[in-house]
Amino acid sequence: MAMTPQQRSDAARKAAATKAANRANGIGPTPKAPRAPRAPRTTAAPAWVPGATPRPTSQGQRLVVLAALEDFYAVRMNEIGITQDARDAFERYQKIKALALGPTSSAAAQTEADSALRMAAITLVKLSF
Amino acid sequence: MSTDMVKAAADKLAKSAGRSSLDDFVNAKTRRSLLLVDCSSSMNGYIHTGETKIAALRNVVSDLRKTHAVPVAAFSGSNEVALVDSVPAARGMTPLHKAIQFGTEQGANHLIVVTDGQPDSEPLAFAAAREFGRPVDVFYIGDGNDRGAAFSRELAALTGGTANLASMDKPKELQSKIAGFLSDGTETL
Repeated sequence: MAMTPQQRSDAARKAAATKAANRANGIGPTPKAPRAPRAPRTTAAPAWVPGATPRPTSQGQRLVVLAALEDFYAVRMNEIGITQDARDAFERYQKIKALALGPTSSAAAQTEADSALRMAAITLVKLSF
Repeated sequence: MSTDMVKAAADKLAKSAGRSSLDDFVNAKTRRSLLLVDCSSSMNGYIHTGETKIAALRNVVSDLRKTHAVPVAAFSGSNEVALVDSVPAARGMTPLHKAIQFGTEQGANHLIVVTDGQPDSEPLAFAAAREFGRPVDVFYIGDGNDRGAAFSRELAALTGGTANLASMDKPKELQSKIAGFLSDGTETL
């Protein structure tokens, strides 16, 4: 049998009162906490900047490798001890390196420096490993 | 590989190119120096400028560290040793053996000691130095003819270091001499 408007009104009032009483007594679902504001989106910095970041070169990478080899060589010598042979070999290496790092005013000089840099790296690998 | 890495590598290679010997080259990269400063109560003595030895030493160390990135440990009190940013007030005894042991524990491979007197125990200090096994350079502040100076010479000789006489009346000279035993730290691995 359908409820009369009065019956619907009474039922709604009763339900609201029951809900309020339950809430007051801690019964029933807890109200949701307000949502925290979302953090603003950040964009990762680009890996390279077009028109600004220079292109990597093998020459540059050779320098990085040589510097790392020198660090390894120093630690190795510190560990195993320095002999006179090692001192003499180092002197030769320094001369090769001076050629590699010297000024390159011409293409021929640049070629010579590149060869010297290659030789310096090979020399250090032989001395270190 | 970033251009910063390439530039850093080029700078390192240029710097190492200036090393005149393999020993110099290896030391520059692997030396871990630790400055041990005596902060015992005798450092409260006055120098000709009217300040105390400890105050003068504080200025020396502060100025030194502007150009040389050397860690500093103070020893004093009753067997107290600690890393410090600034030379603390002087008090108590001279536990040099503890300071050398501290250097060993911290991984130093070179010690520079600045002291104005005899240690609490010479045998313990010698034993600690043998255990350390690397050079100990000593700056003795005082009369070169007393037992303290003799101990400093023996300690340096035992470890392959050097003994130096110093005066707190000449702080710039002391600073310069200590700096001579240090690298600037830019190549240290």
